[in-house]
Amino acid sequence: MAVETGVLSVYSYMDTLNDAIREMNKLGEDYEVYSPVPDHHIEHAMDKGPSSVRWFTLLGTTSGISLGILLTWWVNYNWPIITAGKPYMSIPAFIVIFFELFILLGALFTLVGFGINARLLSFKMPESYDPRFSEDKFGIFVRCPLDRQSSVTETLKKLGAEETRNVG
Amino acid sequence: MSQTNTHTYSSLNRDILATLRRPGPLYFVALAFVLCGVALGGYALSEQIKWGMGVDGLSHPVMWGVYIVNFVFWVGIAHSGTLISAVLFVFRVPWRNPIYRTAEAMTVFAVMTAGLFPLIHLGRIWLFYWLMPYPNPRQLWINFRSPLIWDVFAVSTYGTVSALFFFLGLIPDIAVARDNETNPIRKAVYTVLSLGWKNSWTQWRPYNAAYMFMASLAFPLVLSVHSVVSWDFAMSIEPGWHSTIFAPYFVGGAIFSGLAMVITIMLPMRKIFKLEHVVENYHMESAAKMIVFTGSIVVYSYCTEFFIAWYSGVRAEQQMFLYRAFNPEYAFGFWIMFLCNALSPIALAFKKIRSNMYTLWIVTIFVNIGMWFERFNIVASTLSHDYDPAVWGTYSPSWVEGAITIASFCWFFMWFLLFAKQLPAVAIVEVKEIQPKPLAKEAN
Repeated sequence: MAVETGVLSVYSYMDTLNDAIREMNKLGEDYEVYSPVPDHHIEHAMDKGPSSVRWFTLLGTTSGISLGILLTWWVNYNWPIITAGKPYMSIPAFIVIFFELFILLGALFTLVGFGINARLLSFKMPESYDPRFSEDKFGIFVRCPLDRQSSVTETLKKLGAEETRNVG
Repeated sequence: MSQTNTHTYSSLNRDILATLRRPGPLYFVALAFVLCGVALGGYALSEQIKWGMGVDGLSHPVMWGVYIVNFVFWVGIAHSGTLISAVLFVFRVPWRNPIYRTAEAMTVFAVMTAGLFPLIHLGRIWLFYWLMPYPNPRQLWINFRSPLIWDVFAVSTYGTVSALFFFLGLIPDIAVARDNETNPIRKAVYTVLSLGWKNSWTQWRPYNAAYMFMASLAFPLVLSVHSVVSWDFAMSIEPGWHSTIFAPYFVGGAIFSGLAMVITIMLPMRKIFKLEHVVENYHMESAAKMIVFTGSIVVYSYCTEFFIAWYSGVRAEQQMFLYRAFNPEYAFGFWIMFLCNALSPIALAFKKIRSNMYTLWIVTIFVNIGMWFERFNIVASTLSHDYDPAVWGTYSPSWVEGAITIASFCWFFMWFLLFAKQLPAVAIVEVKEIQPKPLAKEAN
């Protein structure tokens, strides 16, 4: 995999960070934001729209309820036997099964969606990562070719970056 | 009333990660004690497997005893964890953040404890897989109309979803531990467990969405699980069990007992870890108010049960409730339940008692005892005193059931002790979220 090149900028304050993110959006830069907390103001500043995790949840919940219906239906007609004088397909009694599978598969698919979207299980830390991002610092890494690094650095400094570092 | 202390992000990292330092001798003494308890339970279980269910006090007509009591009790304990982590999250209640991790861990460990009891109660524990939905050698499947099968689905779904939700919240905190760890072995373990977390918004965006969806799925799940457990009883036509109030009654009681257990655990834990400035009295008092609220639901349910038994005009129902309160065998359980669950939480309505952490802790222990006896009262009395006087009988647990019950508490606390020293027992990221944001306009 090619090494990402660009400029990393570090901030102590969330409002400075959010202003810088909005400016990056205006400039059309390709960037990544690091922060120790998932504050919704940052999400609003990035303005990327909702995550696609919701489609995984929808798929999981609909698969779960469908599985519940198919399982109870197939099981009861595969070896038909009357119990408790109830019809083979006793929907009120099976609602619990439908509901639990709805929740179970919904949760499992949500986590799979999260894992795929968040690109989990890639253990190599990017060069732009700084351990202070899990403590108290915020960061913006702007992806750019080597020849643009100095101009991007200048822009980031103007926007209140306390530190900048060339990456790549 | 609100949180009084504010913290910087750095100080929270430092203070909460300090809980992961090498423990003192007291920790190992406590761990050895609970391991002995677990070993005692293991020995008792081996006796039961060796000699059969005859070593228990279970006999006709009472074939459900303390194993089922313990199952319902531990599932109930699990509930407040999900209430605090999921339901209060959906409602954006800020006092949940410092206590949610402990509460959610409690949920996972309580479900792990609860899940053992139906298996122990089976007798032939090695045939537990007969409960799973697969066709037996005669090609006959499990009966989906049975509340016991509903239980299998509900409790296993609850256990799975709670464990996943617990782990989801832990990922960013494990990354904090990874970034601050110096021991190479622990660092490697945290690196694997953090699943490559980088604190980037490529990850936070789906994390926020997944967390909200998981909380929203856990919200109805928590209400369903104890409802399904209550239907183990309510779906039968036994006097004292066959009641439509059982589902809300059990859910209210579960949250009541679970909140009490959260406080019972959190108060000593925050003292040992010196985290009183993070998990403040305000957070404990807020949970205590919830105990007063859910306690009132429980008392209302007790009163409704008695009223409906009288109002229905059904003799068997009427005598059952009189039997519970005044019979010579189990009435002590009823009155312990009544004193602990109906009267002791009233004390928490008074600020003076609620804000004194010693009296609060004592009341929560009373609630835990009361809720165990509530389940005993429900299970044993009904089976002892069914419709037909010719088959009445009494039940007293044997030493095997007592040992396994004690072992269940030790098993629960064993997991808790192991967890508290290996992973952050207070949610670092979520406590940061309720601190004042670092803003340049305020700093300047």
